[in-house]
Amino acid sequence: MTKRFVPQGIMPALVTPFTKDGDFIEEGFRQVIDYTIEKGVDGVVPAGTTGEFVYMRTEERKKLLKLCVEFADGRVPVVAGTGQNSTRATVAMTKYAADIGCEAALIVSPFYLRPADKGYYEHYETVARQADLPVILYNIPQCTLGQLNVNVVEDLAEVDNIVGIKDTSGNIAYTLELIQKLKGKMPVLIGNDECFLPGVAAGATGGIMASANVIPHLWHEVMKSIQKGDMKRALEIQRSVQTFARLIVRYGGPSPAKAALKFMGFNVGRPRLPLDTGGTLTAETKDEIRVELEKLGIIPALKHADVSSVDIRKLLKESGADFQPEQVRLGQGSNKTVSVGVAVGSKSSSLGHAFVQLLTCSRVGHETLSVILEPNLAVRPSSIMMPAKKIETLRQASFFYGPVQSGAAKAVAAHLATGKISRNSIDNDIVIMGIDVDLNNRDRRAVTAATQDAVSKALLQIWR
Amino acid sequence: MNDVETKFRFKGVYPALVTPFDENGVNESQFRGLIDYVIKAGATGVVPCGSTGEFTSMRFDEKVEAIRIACEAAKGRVPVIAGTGAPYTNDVIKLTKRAAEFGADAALVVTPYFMRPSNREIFEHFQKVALNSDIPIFMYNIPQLTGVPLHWTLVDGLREIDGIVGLKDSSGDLINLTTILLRRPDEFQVVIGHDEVALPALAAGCDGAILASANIFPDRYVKMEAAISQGDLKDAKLIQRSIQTAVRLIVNRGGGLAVKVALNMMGVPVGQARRPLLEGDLLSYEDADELRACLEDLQLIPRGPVTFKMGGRTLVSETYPKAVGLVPDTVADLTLLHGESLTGVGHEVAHVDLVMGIKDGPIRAALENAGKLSEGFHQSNIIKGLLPTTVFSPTVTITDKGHRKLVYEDAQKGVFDAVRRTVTDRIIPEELVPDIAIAVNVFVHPKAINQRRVHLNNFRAVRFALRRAIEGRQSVEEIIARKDSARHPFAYNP
Repeated sequence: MTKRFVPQGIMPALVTPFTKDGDFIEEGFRQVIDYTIEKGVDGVVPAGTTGEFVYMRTEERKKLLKLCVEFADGRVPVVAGTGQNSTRATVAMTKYAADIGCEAALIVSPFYLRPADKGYYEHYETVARQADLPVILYNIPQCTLGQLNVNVVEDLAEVDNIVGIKDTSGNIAYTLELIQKLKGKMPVLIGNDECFLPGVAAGATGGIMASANVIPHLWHEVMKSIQKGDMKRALEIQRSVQTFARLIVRYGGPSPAKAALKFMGFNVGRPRLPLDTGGTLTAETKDEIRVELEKLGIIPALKHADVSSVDIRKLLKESGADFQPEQVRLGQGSNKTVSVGVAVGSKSSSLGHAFVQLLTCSRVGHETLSVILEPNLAVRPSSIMMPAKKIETLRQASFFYGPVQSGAAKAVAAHLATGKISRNSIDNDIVIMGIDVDLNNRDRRAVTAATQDAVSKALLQIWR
Repeated sequence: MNDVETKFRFKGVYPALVTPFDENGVNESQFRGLIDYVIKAGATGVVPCGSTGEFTSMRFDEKVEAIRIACEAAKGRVPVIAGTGAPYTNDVIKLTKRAAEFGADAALVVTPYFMRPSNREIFEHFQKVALNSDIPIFMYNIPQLTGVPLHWTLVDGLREIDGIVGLKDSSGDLINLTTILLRRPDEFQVVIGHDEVALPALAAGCDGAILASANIFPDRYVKMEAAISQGDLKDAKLIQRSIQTAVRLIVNRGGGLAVKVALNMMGVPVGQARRPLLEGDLLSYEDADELRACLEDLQLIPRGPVTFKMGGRTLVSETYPKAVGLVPDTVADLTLLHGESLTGVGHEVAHVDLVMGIKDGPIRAALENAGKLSEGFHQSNIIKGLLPTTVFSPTVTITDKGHRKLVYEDAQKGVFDAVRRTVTDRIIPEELVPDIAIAVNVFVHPKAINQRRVHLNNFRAVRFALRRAIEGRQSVEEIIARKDSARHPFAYNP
């Protein structure tokens, strides 16, 4: 019998770097292992869900485990992901992991053709008995569609070589039931990054997580703070990483984890097909990941230009549109986050011409769209808005056509509600807004509010 | 209960009636108007106070009132099955008694909900209700709302209870339903309650249907049932096909609220749904426009004159599809109309902003720029072979060959089809066609891949945006009312 290994602390569910053609990038794999060990992880976990184990053939997976043992080089234990659909294949893979020097195996519950309680029990019991390696159970019902019921886990905890469970369900009630009923017989590790703090506060003794490829040191600090009784500090860190954790968990695991590591300069390639087509993780979300890394100080922040006052006529001219000032009423509003210039005129005036021009022949990066409270709910009088600064990325676009658009629409709707805009204006006028926004601001709610404030100020100068 | 009353046999198609409300409660004249409408349209019975009737938003005395009105209005014409369900057993008994007094032929009793009782408790609930009722009881299975599914094994026992004569199954679960149908004795009546699977359920042997969409076109279901009973599945399928999109919207986007929106547009006034149900919410603006288009195809939307004015000229579209409450009698000024629309989901969404107006008005700007190539600007073009003259103006940087194809073939084809359709819909009058132009700003996401949906979404978006531009929607009142609750998809932090 192997000596009983107690899994604990922070372990990254390592990504598996692949080239576009699907080959391993050994260099990238080594970089991530070195980085996470340097950041103090208590072990590394190759070939987990984040490691895309389902996309690897048996031989590849063996090669990956071997590489991992070689790169970790005894510095930290290697906990190998060895779960397969069939019991026999799982035993074989786990034996292999034992042979090459892994400390334990993380074994996902069988999926696709999934058994009921008895089948789960016998699967794990067989693997633990036949493969000479400590086994960590792995519950991830989002992917397997099956739940390891607590009473099955209780019984499995009695088996010699079963040493822990990783729970990725994110179901706090389930996690707490596990911790309570296992009575410390074996540790519970958190697999759902979003629930790490409550899990640890309730008695979990570690985590095997996708985001631990990137921020293992922060997870360590959360855990240590809780164990010291400094809940305030623990909460502070958890809150600072919550968005990052959410992005990793909810946008597909490996894709966002790899995106983050690439921002940090690691050569981790891309996920294997069908995951790498940009469907799960869009360019917009990728950019959000970058922003979170900036906030956490993991990568240097891009600096955007400050807000400057918008000269609506000049802006329109640059976009190939102009108007005769005597036909148009102007308003101006700004605060430290948003600056807006508003022009209002009748449809049949020169501004009407500009309105059509901007909407149908827009300048690249200054695309003009209707002012809407939400899609299918455009404001009246007919209003369009254009970004004063050139839009460079999709995230920036979603910012401008998100909180800025929403705030502008709320301002118009609120102004309508005051009754200050006459019926004649509603039917016959059009509104063009040029808006500049501080792209260094990262709080969309604040941007919505600031835009509403600035646009309201401008509208008040036009419709008193 | 005695044996005489158990002779009730369910036949045909009953609408699960919507309940018209006014500030005092049930709007009796509208409710009677609706009952007249559905009976004239072929309903073989009516069901007041079902889920579609928003029974959970009614006080006890309002439910009593609605059942009274339905019984009086239907008397001598068609049977009434009154919805009398409630979470609390004694409330069901009380309301069922009142329904019996008014002459209801049977009661429809939903499984108790919210607190989700065990099978034993559900069993006792129905036992007590049946024991204390003077009219036969239909059980009502709708787990999407109750959280309590009636499994066929439970129905095996429930159907033996004295006074329980049938089941309305709205689950849409054809596996469970088929088992129930195969195991039942003849006298246990099983009625389909899920509009989307009416055809397969009737073909599998259901005795009839109680449906939300039967408020709108009961005759279609009556004909479908007749075709099936004659073994004519081909005809039954044609009928199903003609209504399936409308039905999908009604079932999945608001039930009674969607039915009310439809009936109001058709000129059968039934008022608004009670809060918390809200138009433009579960039934989105997009859905409402889609529903209207479906009803137009079924010739259920009245047509009438709309006058278009431009300068000194006046033109009348005599047969404009005038959805009641949405379409003004006059479009006062064609200088520049502006409409916006987003349809579809995911990467295939279509988001269009469009303008339309007389050719010598501001729209000239779009016509002059079309086809011009200038550095740093998105290029637009006039769509070939299409009248009114339409400028296609994609405002997204083309990323690759596939994206180019989606924009210039699929999305552009969607715009083409929508403009042409708007003329044949008689929304843009023929005589106006030479004098106006349209310009459409189109966005196609670089990660879109499903060509068919890109085409269809752009077709729908342009079709709806044109109608909104002409009809002046959404209204100022709607904008003001929704200014705080509107959901902008990108306005929130990740």
